[in-house]
Amino acid sequence: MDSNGFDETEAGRTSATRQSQAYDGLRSLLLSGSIPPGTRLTEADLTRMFNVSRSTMRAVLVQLAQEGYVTSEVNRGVRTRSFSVEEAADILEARETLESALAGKAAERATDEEIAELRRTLRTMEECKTRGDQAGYSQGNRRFHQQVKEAAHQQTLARAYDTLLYPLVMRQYRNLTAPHPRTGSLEEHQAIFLAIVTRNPEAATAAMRHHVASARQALMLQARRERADPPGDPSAP
Amino acid sequence: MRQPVKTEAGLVEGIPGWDRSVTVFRGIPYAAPPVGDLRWRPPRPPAPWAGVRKANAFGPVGPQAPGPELDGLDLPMSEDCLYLNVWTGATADDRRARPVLVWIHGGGFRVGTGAHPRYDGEALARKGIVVVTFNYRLGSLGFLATPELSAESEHRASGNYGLLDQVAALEWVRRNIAHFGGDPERVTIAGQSAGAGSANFLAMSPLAEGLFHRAVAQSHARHFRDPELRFLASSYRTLADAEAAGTRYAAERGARTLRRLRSLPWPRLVEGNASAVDSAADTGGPAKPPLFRPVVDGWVIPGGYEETYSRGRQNDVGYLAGNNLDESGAVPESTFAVYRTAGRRTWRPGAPPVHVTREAFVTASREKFGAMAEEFLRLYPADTDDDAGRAHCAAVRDNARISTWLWAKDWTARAGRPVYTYFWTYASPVMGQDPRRASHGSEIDFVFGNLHPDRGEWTDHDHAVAETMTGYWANFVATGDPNGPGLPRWPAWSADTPSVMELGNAFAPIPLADPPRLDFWQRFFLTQQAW
Repeated sequence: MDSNGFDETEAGRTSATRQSQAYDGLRSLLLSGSIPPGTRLTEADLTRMFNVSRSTMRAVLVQLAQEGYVTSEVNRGVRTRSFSVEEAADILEARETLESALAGKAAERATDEEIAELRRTLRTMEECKTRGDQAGYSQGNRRFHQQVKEAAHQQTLARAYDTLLYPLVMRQYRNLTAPHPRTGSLEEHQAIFLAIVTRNPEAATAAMRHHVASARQALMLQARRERADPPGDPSAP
Repeated sequence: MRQPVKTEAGLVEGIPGWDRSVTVFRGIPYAAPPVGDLRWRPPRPPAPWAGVRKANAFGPVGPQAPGPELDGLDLPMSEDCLYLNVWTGATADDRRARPVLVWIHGGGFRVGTGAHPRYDGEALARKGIVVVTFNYRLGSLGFLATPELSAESEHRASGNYGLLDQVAALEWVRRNIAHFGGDPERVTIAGQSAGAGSANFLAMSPLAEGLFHRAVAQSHARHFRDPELRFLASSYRTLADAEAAGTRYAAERGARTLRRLRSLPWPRLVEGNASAVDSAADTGGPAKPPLFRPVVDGWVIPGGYEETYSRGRQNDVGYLAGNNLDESGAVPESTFAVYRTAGRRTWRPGAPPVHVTREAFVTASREKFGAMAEEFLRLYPADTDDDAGRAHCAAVRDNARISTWLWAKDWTARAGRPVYTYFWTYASPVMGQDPRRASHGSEIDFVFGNLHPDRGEWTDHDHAVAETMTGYWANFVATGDPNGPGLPRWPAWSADTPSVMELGNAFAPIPLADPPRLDFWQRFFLTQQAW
């Protein structure tokens, strides 16, 4: 509680944990979309921000560059990742394949406890949609996908899925003016859940593929539209 | 709540809370985005909008080093962060406008957001309070001072932009809260840690006069001769010191001019908790405050505590203030071994020390108490390391209780309204600490009544404690008196009775400290410089 406040006295943080804290912190900052794509990040600023040595931050940046969160080029320094429309389409297509495979495995291997949790999450999403709680729905949506991934009990697939960086892609290309949740989104999640609960791997795979493909198509349509006709300055009269 | 709701800048539409009797409005702008040329300027009114603004998503959080305060929130970070949130259960049948609670989040003036789930106002709204939470500028974006910035200001002052944001939020409340069923004549400001420090500063600010009627300071309301005040959230800087630090800060970023500083993207301006320590602050020990914190600038804060209180210049408001069992360097006994092994290497720079060896305790005592050290060590004896740990914690706790009691004495000398002080002792196992403790901020969940199942496996006892705490706070917000039917009696502060209300493990007054110890601390404070 209040670990940056005036009164923090928790002991026991070692420097190994400090590096992973800096990694987690910078990664979450990048995933939140708060730093525009292509922004330069200097080591000095990041060491000040995350309270680590320069060598530690350098190691963090190397790891993030390897994973694709940032790019590192000789004359351009370290910059936040910017995806072209083609790269974005490629990543989202890969997501479709991996996530539908995970859903199929979840139908086979989800425990009763995991199914109960999925049911709770879905109920929360329904509740949020009724109330018009967009942010609550999004949070539930993320949790749903996370729970399906874990219920698959397939480490290799899950790890591959986690390397995809598709959240970064979504952030860069999200359409802020579209109705949210996307029409049909809740029903698609219900279909996925139903297939898992009835232990039908083929149906789960198909339902997830349909769901992710719809999201991908909506996003790509918007991205192509914007490329053809870039949005104006929102603050202009 | 009939929707949409009118505000000065336009119509807003909120969403039902989890309980349909409450409506929540998230992300209402209360000021123009302080970006571009507005960076490091007082906040301006928000631009009006046409149509109905859907207030269903929290606004971005202010730029800050990512950490536990933002965990799981998934909100974007942006300089465009001056948004507030309202929870109200008001209906057309209300016979009277509802009392208002404006919550100022903590986080060392460096991190945090009003959108954190622990500040969810729904439970208090169900108890008849209109709750407002909000973001204010943090870190250097909120509290940078430079000679150029001061010169630019018609008041020849800089460094209090975060506080000015808080004043702007209060002004928004004054002008708009009636539309949400709130009573602008019954406004309480409340905060924890830096939020409590903020409340203390607003209580001294002429700019906030009339904007609120009572204040709650959860931790850090301390007497102005208590040296711990200098590193706790009530600490302040002089304008000269702040401007000098600001000049150094700008130079470190290669920005010799204000124009250059204003052109830097915000990731270049965020300070982590190590680099933002004010090591030059004279606190009489290793504990130091964060660098970017409020400034006695002669305008927002006209003078220090002693200057203000002795002349009766503070705002005429009632107060509720207190401290926690395990904060400011006091820890549960079962952790002594951990602190012994960890040493100082891994702590937040400037953190209050935890002395758990005889040697450290005695050395620190001699440094702090000088000529009074022998008396101190007689009152807080330490023959073994464990004794030293216990003596250290006892001293920290006595210091806090006595300091707040003396602060209340000075406060009430000129303000005619009652003050209520407390000492929070409840250590719920659900807080996730091992071992559990009544740590800094541990009372917040209980004050707000936010014991949601997805935040922990709360017990019936936890819920009972929360019922009592929300009852006290709701009563105080409504009437200026925490007492009410069904709640254990909480006597107001009185000069005749050196006691404090325990909250948590029990709900009853307890003595402030052993009389010889009370006498010691009173005499010790008299030897210290007044802030």
